[in-house]
Amino acid sequence: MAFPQLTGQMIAFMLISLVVIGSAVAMLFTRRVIYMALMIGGVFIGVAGIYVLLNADFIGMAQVLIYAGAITILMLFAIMLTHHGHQEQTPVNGHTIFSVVAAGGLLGLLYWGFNTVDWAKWQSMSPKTDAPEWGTSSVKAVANSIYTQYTIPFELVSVILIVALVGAVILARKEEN
Amino acid sequence: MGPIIEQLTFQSVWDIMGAEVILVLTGFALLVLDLFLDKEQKKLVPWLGILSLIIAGGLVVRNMINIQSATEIGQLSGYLYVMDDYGSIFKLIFIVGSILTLLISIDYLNHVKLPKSEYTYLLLFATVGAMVMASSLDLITIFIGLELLSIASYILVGMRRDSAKSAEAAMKYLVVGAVGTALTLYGMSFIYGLTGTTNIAMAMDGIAGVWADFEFLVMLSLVMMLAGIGIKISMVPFQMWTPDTYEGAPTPITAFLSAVSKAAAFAMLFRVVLFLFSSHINEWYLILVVLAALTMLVGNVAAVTQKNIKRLMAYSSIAQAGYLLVPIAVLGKAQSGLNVFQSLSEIVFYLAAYVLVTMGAFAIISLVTRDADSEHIESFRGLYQRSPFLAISMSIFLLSMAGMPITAGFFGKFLIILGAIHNQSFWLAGIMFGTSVISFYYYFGIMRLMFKKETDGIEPKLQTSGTLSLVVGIALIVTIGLGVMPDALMDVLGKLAWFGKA
Amino acid sequence: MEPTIVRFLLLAAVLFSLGLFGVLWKRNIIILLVSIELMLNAVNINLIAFSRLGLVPNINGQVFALFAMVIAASEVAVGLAVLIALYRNRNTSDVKDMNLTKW
Repeated sequence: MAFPQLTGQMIAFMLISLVVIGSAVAMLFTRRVIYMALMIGGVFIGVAGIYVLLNADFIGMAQVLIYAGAITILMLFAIMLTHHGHQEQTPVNGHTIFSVVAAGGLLGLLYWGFNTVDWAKWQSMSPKTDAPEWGTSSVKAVANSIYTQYTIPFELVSVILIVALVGAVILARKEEN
Repeated sequence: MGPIIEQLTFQSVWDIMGAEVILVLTGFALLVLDLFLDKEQKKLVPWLGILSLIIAGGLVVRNMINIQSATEIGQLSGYLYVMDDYGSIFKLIFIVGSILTLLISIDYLNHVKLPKSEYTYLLLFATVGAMVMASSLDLITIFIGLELLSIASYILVGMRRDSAKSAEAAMKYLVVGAVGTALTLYGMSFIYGLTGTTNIAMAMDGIAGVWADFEFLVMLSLVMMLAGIGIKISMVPFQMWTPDTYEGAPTPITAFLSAVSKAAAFAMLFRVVLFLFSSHINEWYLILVVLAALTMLVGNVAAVTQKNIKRLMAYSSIAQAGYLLVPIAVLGKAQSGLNVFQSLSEIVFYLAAYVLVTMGAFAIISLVTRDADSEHIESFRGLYQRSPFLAISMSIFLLSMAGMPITAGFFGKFLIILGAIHNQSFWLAGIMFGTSVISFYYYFGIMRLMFKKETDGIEPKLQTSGTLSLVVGIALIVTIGLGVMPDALMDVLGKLAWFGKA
Repeated sequence: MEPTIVRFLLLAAVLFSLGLFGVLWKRNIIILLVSIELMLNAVNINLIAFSRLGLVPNINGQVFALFAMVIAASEVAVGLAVLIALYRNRNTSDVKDMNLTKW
């Protein structure tokens, strides 16, 4: 990989990546579960920033609403409904070593693999346009796609939401008697 | 851009996915009906579920008859959803499995306090998810079907409120299943990146075209998807959740997971592998060979030491997943494209036999474990004195799983081994044969217990209920029927237009 | 113009590996669920990056990401409900007592 030139986009990407990875690492190593919920909020908002960099404004918005809003709040509620003390630091044992080796191995493999790929060829094969393929309004394009091509999965998602709703209620409600 | 998407009409949706529509509508109807029914009337809800499944089965058969005279296969939204015999035959397997699950459940729900309506419609929705996985050609839709099945299964597993094991089983299933989802999606994202389409039929040529240039990305996608789906079919090394989940789940749901859920994941696996990665299968089939061998070995060896009947069945089902991987693994050495259809026939035959046998065995397990109030295999001791019919049926089911002659399981295994030898995969055939021999040990262990004399000799007779006897009876007839005349099913399979008329 | 797509893929790879590490290492169920969300977010970065800079860029990637988000949300909802059921069943005041010991 050639050394990248510093452009505005590049700087924004670096900063956001730093926030995302920093929050993710901090989340995994924090000892209090409640801080963890705040850290994950940082990851979600950072990822939304990445989407906006890629001209996917609508998805970026949805990311803020669904993840940073709904899911983080849901997590906070669950944390408050169940009691969490200080998390003890996991001792360094076989289990930790296994986790580090497995995840690190995956990352190493991916890094090595991405380096072997001929990205210049990728660049030459993909169309070189400065404007995104879907024009200026990603909302319109997404809506068009969902309501024409992807109507069937869209309808099925409503079934999934009902299943999740009913499931959450019957699993979490108190015993009747 | 893809093809012009014609608009969905009620007629076209009904023609192609009528079975799914019936099940979803029944599910929603039961959801509303639940509010108006009193306790006695709720006992009828599972029967309504069975009725809707039978209608859905009729609609699938209608589709299979229609396709014989059709000039091209029916499709919706630009080949997002298709009506081919590959999907239809799997759908029939799911429907039969779900009907039998509900029949076992009717007996089970009379003894264990569970919300009957929710149980029924979650099962129906899970079946819809399985059907979508079998019939869709679109990565997003397959993924949605997979999640519909998975999320409904997580809830069904965790439904027992009197048992902490049930919630723990659900938690474990959910965490492992969600990791599987993430892995599958990570794999799918590269397919999209390389081809720009989510349709696997259209991605087929695209993938073959970029294979040489971006081999790492294609292989990464394949490995990730294999791992993700491997979790769902409990393929070694992703099988750790299986025994715990099977043990903690309500017994009919264990049967559903090991039969319908597994069959659905196989339907998805074969569809994805055949469409996306078959162009270079001779380069990577060794991965599948190794995984199949490992799955057969680990499943069978670990089952030997099990003392809990549900855990034993869990390991046995892992082993069965290994056998089912063999027909695709051997395609790597296949000489001609026709072998694909041969492999598909083997898989469907084996799955049909396996689903029926599993349901029959779990019907008996459900009764025996409840009567003894213990899931230890010792509860089967002296079953022959207490109920000769159940003991003999169970023996036949176990013999079928082990692959003894005059049962359906024998021909299932025989065909797979024959196919492996035909494709010069002698090692795999040998491992399959050898691990089957190991499996005799634990299957015979249960049989020996059943025919042993009780020490005090005054055990009361075991009463079966009507629905359980029905399940056992159906399973028995099919198991022996297919064992005596396997050609009846093989002829039908031979006539199928798997992916439409060639 | 250097190949920008690699940056996004690498960021996604780092996030995916971190999520996998969390799932394997952590014993707290809530952290497990959050780690899975990290993995799913990594997938979405991939999809969105491909939808802009892929070989055939188009809107489908964004639609895919949107569907993935909805699924992730329902998975989390069910997961937390199971957690609460588990918590009530075990009647313990600390999540670490009901850690899933045998993986």
